[in-house]
Order: sequence, then structure tokens, then C-alpha cells
Amino acid sequence: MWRLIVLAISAPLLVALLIVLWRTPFPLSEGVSLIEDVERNPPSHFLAADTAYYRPLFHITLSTMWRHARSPESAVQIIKLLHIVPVALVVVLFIWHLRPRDAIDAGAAMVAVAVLVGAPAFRDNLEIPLSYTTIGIPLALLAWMIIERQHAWWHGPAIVAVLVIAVGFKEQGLVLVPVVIAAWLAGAPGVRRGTVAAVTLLGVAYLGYRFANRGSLELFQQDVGFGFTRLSPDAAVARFGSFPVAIFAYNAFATIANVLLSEPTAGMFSATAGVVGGRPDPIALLNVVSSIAMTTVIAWWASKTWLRSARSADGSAGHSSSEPPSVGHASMSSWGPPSGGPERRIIIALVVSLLACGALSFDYSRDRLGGMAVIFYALAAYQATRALVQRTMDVAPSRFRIGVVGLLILAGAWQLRALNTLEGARETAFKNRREWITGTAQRRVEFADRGVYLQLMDRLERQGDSERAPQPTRYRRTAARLIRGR
Amino acid sequence: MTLNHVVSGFSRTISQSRRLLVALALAAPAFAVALLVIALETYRVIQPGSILFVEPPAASLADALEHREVEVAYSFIRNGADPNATLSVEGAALTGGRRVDVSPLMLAVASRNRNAVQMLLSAGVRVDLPANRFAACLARDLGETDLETMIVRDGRLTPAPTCLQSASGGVPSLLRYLH
Repeated sequence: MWRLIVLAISAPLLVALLIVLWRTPFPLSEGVSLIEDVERNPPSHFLAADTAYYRPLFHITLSTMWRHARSPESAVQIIKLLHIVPVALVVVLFIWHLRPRDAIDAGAAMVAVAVLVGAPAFRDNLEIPLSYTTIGIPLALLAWMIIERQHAWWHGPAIVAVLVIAVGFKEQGLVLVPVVIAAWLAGAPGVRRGTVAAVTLLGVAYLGYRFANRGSLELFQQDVGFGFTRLSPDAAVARFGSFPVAIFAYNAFATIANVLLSEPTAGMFSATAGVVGGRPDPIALLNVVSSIAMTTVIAWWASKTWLRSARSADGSAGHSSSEPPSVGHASMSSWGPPSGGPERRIIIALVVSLLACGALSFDYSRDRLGGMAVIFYALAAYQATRALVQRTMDVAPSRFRIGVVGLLILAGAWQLRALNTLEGARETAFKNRREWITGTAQRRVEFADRGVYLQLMDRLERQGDSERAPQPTRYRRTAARLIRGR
Repeated sequence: MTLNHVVSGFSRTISQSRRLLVALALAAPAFAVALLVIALETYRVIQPGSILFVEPPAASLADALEHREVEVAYSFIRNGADPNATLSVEGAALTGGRRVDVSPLMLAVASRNRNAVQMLLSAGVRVDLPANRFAACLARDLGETDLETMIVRDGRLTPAPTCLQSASGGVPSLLRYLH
């Protein structure tokens, strides 16, 4: 019943978000180029790995959809569904997985859903038709749900399939490799040694294949955010080309920090710059403050859980008191962290996924590159909120009142962020339409020698400038600043 | 025994009320957001033209080009207005209070409305028409060099027009290029 209540309360925002995505015009800038790519090349072309962005499954799926649709309009609709279904799926699966059992669990689950939807890494992945990581996020959750279930014969093939699909859509799917290994080492019941071996082998084989076929790539593929500025690839080479390791480390740090603190954004400390420059952006500040608060709660809960399970492991040879020892399951118990405990596995998965997301974004940082870690951040937020509630329940009345107000503010801030994600999607739809209205003349000149592009642009123009495209809600005053930013 | 019973009942009641309060603190914002979204989206369906959702319509294409977001101007063209036909305009800043006939492109340039210029070029404005021929010159006069470049490049204006010498008098730039 509590699952249904959480779902019912989360549904209006989710449904509104899905409708906005459905009505969002296919973008002119990236969308038409992608379709041009699949129109000009056979599907097998996308298997070649000598490119900076290797997403064979994404391109082949796009190609299949485009080629087999009855009309450009229906192709666009199907491509949008490829983006929308995972968004719906991840929220529903997330609530299903949390399995709230009472009113407090339900409240914590609502906060966790807001953490998931309001995270910059989630929001930045809503850009149609770039569904690479939007598909990866529910797959990460699905893998985690399988890993945490009692073992069944199909778990191994399912985890491998999930990994292949996630990596096929974007390399960020590789995050699942260390997550699966770490979960096994930590005693997860749903994964066995054979699966870990297969997953590791696939990961290593993929990396080997990519390195062997990488061709000659530029050092920096996109603009690099650094401090308060954004550097073009050329400027980044000029500044860091002799010792790129430092900027690679910075980019990794920026992606991790964005998931944990909502700052920096795309490598740039925008919220800080606003404060320093005397023009603070209220929504950016709200994001940073609420993220700091939630990450602090998670850190407190994680340290408490870790110490408790370490103490328990001392007394029971590697297994937490909350979970029976796994039988016939080779997990690490004699060295490193003690195994066992679903809560502790979430901490491990969060840390491992963050590090992996950071490593995979070494070349440049973007909010969306933390997408695979955001699901573990939201899971940790759920557990941490429950622990905080438990702590609040046990304190003296005066501190209890302060605790309740604190919880209300924390939950309210994250719900505002979730609402901001909806408005962000509206803004994107509005910008896409404006691009169609104002940008075709320039493209006709710039791409005069790309006949296919221009032809596609003409075919897609009607959906692009449609008056049905969502528009941002024109909130007034404080509401406008808090929900839509400046 | 009875006292213990009362005390345990009392602490149970306190514990229950605390649980309820905490659950409410966590759920209330989610509930409020759900209600807000339902109310807004229902209202959006009932009153799609409300100023809460769209910019109010402009009185004319000229008004839209001068004062509104590009979408408002575009809705006129989408609904059949000819982007090459002249408009009757009267404004203190742009025409010195005189009523003049001016093309949408010239008006957009005079209003320094970059989005509107891009929209008009995308909508098929012919830069070589007499009414538009000096749009790039007007942009240069106003110091809007990127607009000038855009008009010449995206309007495929070849050869580029010979512009008048810049004047420092009180005549609005727009009037200098009207026939």
C-alpha cells in the first residue's frame, strides 16, 4: 500500500514531465545531425570504434527506428519514446525497489524520489534525443535490484545483458563493471563468481577493443570547464597539453562533486561565481545548499553504518548481524572491508560508481556524466533519511522540534528541485522551438553542401516550430527565482 | 502496575505522534508539489492562453517585432502574415514620431531584435527586395555588426549593398534608409 501512496504522490510531477518530454520538439542542433548520420550510413557503420563517441547500440537503435517508421513524424515519436520510457521506468522501479513499509519509510521514499529527479545528473540527461545515459540509469537500478535478490540461475545472464545494453548505449555503462565486482566482494546475494568473471572479462575486452581502435583523437573533445571559466579544446591544449593529467583529475573531481554538491556545473563553479560577483542565482544556491545538506546526512549515515557493520563483523567473522552468512558464496572477508549488509553495499556502490563516473569523464565534465551514480546517491539518500528520522525520534522534545523543522526544510528543498527539473524540461522544449524558428536560415548557408541534412531539416521543421511545444510557466517573483532561477 | 501501564501508554502515544509528525514533515512538501502540479496542469488545459503560460498576444506584427518575444512575431507569420510586406509604424524612438511604411526586417533591425532578424531570415525574407536592401547598412549604422554579418551571410546578399555615410544628425537611422 505504501508503495502505491508514494507512487500516487510522485505521479503528477512524473506524468507532467513525461508529457513535456513527449511534446518537446526534436532539436535542430544535435537532433538533425544524428538523423543525418543514420540516414547516410548503414547500421554496421556504427560498429567501428575509431571515434571519440562510441555508442553502437544507440545509433543502431536510432537507425532501425528511423528506417522502419512510416513517416518522419512517427519516427520522431518513437525516438522520443526511447527517451521517455526509461525516465518513467526508473522512477517506478526506484519506488518499487525501496519498498516502503510504513508512513516514515514512505516519507523518506518521497524525499529519495525528489533526490533522484532533482539531481543535476538526472536533469541533464533529459535532453531529447540523447537517451544514452537515460537508458543506462534504469539499467543500473535493474542490475542493482538483481544483485540484491536471492540468487537465481538467470541473474548472471541478466546482469551481463544489462551491462552490454548499457555500454552499447554509452561508455558510462562501464560503471556497472566495478559496481558488480564491489557488490560481490561485499557479499551481495544475487551475484556469483562466474558472473563477476564474465562482467570483468567484458569490461576488459571492451576497453582493449576501444584502445586498439581509437584512431587519432584530439586531446580534448569538447569545451573544458575549469574554475570560473570555460576553455575551448584548443585553449585547453595550450594550457594543459604538456601535462594533461592535472586537468583530467580536475574533470573527474568536478563530475563527482557535481553529484554530491551540485557544484561545479560542467566543470565551472557557477553558483560560487554568482555569489562572488554579487549576483547569486537562487536556484543554484538552493541546489548547492540542499546537496551539501543531503550529502552530509549520507556521510553521517554511511560512517555510522560502516562502523556498526565493522564491529558486527569483528564478532561474526565477516557477516553483519542483519544478514545470515551466504552459503557457497565466495566473497571477500579475510581482507579489506568486511562483507555483508545491504545498507553497506549501497555505500560501497555509491563510492565505486562515483569514482567510475569520475574516471570516465576525465576528458571533460558535464552534469549528465554522473548519471550512473545518481541512482546510488538516491538509494543512499533514502537510507540516510530513514536513519536521520530514527535519530530525530529519540531526542528530547526541544531538539525534536528542531529536527522536524530541519527535515521539513530538507524535504521541501529537494521537492523544489524536482519541480525545477520539470521547469527545466519546459525551458529546453522552448529553446528547441526557438532554435527552429530562428536557426534554419543560418544552417541553410552553413550546411549548403550537406543535402541530406537540409532535406531532413525541411522534413522535421513542422514538428520543430509547432505551437504545441511546452512553454515555461511564467511564475512570479520569489516563486520564479526559486523554481526557474534568475 | 497501573502506573506502569499509564506511563507506557503515554510514551506509546508520544512515540506515535512523533512518528506522525516526522512522516508529515517528509511527505508534506511532496504532497504540496503534487497538488501544485495538478492545479497548474489542469489550469493549463482549461486556459492555455493565460498569461501564466504564454506571453499575451501582440496587437500587430510591428508591435511584436518591436516589443515582444520572437515567438509572438512568428505566430503572425505562421498564421499567414507576409514577412516581405511593409508595415505601417509610428514610434518616437524609431521614426521620430512619423508614421512610415517599413519592412519587418528593417523594423527588427531598427529594434535591435536579433532573434526577430534570425526568424525573418529563416521565414524566407528576401533581402534583395528594395524595402530590405539596406537592412545590413542600417545594422552597421546602429553598430550592430553581428546583425550586419548575419543579414549578408544568411540572406545571401551578393553583392553587399553600398551603404550611405554615417550621419551624426538627429534623424533616426531607420528613416535614412526608407524610400
